[in-house]
Amino acid sequence: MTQTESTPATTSSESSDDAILSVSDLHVSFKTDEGMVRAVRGVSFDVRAGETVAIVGESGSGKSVTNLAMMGLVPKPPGNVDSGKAMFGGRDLLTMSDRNLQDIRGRHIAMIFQDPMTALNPLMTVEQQLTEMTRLHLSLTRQEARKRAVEMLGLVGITAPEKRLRDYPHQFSGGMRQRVMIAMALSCEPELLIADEPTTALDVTIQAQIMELLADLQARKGTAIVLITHDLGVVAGVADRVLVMYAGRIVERADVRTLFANPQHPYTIGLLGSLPNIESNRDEPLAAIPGQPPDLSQPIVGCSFRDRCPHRFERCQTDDPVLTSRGALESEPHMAACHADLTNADAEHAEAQQ
Amino acid sequence: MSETQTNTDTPLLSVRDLKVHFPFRRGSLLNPQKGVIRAVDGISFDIARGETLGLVGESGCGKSTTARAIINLVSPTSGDVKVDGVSIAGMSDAAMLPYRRRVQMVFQDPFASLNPRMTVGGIIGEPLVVHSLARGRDRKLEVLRLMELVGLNPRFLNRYPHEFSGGQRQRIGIARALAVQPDLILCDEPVSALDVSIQAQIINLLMDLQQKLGLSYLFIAHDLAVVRHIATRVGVMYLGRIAELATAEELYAGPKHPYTEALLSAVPVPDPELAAKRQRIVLSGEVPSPDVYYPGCAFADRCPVKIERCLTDRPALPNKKHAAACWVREEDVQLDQRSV
Repeated sequence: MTQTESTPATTSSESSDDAILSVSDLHVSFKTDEGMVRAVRGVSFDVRAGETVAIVGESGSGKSVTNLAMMGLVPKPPGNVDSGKAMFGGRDLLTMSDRNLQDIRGRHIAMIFQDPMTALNPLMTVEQQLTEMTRLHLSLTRQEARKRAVEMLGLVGITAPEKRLRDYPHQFSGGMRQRVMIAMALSCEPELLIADEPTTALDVTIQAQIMELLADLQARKGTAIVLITHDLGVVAGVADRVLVMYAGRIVERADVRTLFANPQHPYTIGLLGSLPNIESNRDEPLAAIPGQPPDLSQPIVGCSFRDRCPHRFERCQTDDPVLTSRGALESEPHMAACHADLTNADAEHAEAQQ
Repeated sequence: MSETQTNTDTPLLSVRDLKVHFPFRRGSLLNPQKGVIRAVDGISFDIARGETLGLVGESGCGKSTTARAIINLVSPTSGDVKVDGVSIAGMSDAAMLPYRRRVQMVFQDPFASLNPRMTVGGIIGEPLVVHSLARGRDRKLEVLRLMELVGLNPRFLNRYPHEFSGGQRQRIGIARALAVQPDLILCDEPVSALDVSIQAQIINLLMDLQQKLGLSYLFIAHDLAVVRHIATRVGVMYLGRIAELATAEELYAGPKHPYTEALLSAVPVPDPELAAKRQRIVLSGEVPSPDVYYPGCAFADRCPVKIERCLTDRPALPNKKHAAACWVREEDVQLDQRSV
C-alpha cells in the first residue's frame, strides 16, 4: 500500500480541539476474486459536537465502509482495516477490543441504516428491540426500559406507542420502521449518530418527514450526525459541512454553502452539473460526467478521477493529488484534491454564463 | 374540445378509464377475507407523437402497473388502450405482435431485466428474430448500429451482461427496445437504480434519441426533478388515480392539487440557500392502503385544505389542459360517476 498520499496538510488542520470523533488516514481493503479492492484509501475527518457532517459519494466511493470501519463492523475476512486511527473520547475505535467497542456502540455512537426492514429483527417485537439497548447500556429495569421505549416512540411520532410496542417490524410501513430505527438509535442519547442513507428507501414525502424529525431531535438533544448519502438535495438541506468522496478518498471538503456555491474539484462540479434541478431548463442537456469510476481492484496511478476529468493534464497521469487549501470561508477550511486550480476557471465560466 | 384530445389528429397512445384490480384472499382458513387491490383505478391520458408524458407518484400509486397494463404484461380489468386509434384490449397474442413492435419497454432494474446467459449481441438481436426483421449478417450489422447509437462500444458484442456496469446495462436495455424501431417507449424508472453522474448520461441519451428518431416516451419516475427535465407533460398519480395532469411548465410553476403541491415542496433542492428559504409542506401520515375503498377523494385523509365534500364525493379529473381532481382547487370538477 502506498503511503505517499498521507497528507500532512490535512492532518494538521483536521484535529480541532472540540472534535468528538477524529478519523485520520483510514485505509480499508477487501480481498475479492478480482484481487485486493482498496475501498478506503486514506480518509481523515473530524466531527464536532452537535453538527451534521455529510459524506457524499456514489456507489463504491467508500463512504459506507468508512463508517462501518469505525463501528468495527467491517466483515473480516474478506475485509481488513489496514491502518488509520479513529479517536473517540480519547480512545482509538480501530484498535479497541470488541468488548470495549460494544460499550460504545449503541451507547455513545449509534447507527441507522438504509433498509429498516433488514436492520430490524423480524422475530422480535419492537418493545424487545427498543428495550434491549437501554437495559444493557443504561442498566434500566424492565419497567423503566418500557417507559423509555414508549417515550422514544412518541418522540419519533408514532401514534399509540404503548400499543405499537407489541407489534413486530412487518406490521410497520417503511417510514414507520425507519422511525423505530431512529427511536432505537437515540434511546441511549448517543453523542454521535451515523445515518447511512436513512431516507433512500423512502418516498419523497416520507423522506421529508424523517429529515425533519432528525433535525428536530438533533436540535433538542445536541447529537452530532454523520449523514452518508448520495443525494445532494438532502445534503443541501441539513448538512453543516460536506465531505465528497470518490474512489476511496475525500476529494473535496467545505462548509455546505461554500461547496454548493463554489465547488473546486471537477468531480464535485460534475456531480452538481449532473443533477436535474427542479428549476432546470429542459433545452440544455445535463452536464453528465462521462465514463465511470475506476476499478479499485487495480492499482491507481495518478489521480483517480483523471479519465473522466475535463481539466486533466500530464501531471494528473502520474501524481496523486492531495487535499490542498482553496481558501477558508467561515470556520471550515475549503480543501480539494486536484492539481488544476479551478478558482479562475470557475469565475470565467460564471462570467461566460452571464 | 380540449387540447389534450384533438379529433383531427389521433394520438399515438390513448388510454381511457384504465383499471387494473388485483383480487386477493388473506386471513386464516377459518376467517378468510376477500378483497381487491385497486392498483390502477380509472385513469385516462393521451400521448402525442414526439412527446414525453411523465408519470410521477410514490411507491404503490400504480404508475408501473399502468405501463404494464398498456403493454399487456398485466391484463387490464377494464378500460381501453388504443394505439393510433386501434383498440388493442382483448387482442390475441398473435394479433398483438405488430402492436408490440410499436410499443417497447425499458425497465428499472438493469440487473434483472437482461438474460445473464445471453451475450449483448444476442440480447439486442432477439427482438429482430422475434419480429423477423433481419437475419444473419444483416442482423449483426443492425445490432452493431444499435450499439453505436446508444453509446456502447461495438467491441463488446460478445460480452455478457455481468461484465457491464449499471449505466451500460441500461444502454443495452435501451438498444434492445430500439431494435424494432418503436414509436413509443415505456420507460419504467429507467434511471432510479443508477448513480447521479451515470443517471445524467442516460437521461441525455434518451432525449438525444427522441430528437433523432422522433420517439414518444411514457416516462415513469418518482424523482420529480428528473421528470421536470425530460417530460413535456406530467401526470401526478395518487392511489391508482391521476390527481393532476398538465404541461411540465404549468405543473411545476403552479401546481393546483394539494398533493402535487406537497410533493413538489418535499423535493430536496441541491442549493443550501434555497433550501433554507423554502416553505415545506410536510404531509402527515402515509399513503393509505389501496385495498380499502374510499368513497371520496383518496387524498382527503392527508389533505391540508380538505372540505366536507372531499370525504364523501370523488372528484373526476376534468378534461382540460391543466386539470386537477380536486373539489377545492379546481373550478369545474364533476362527481366521478364511474367510481360509484
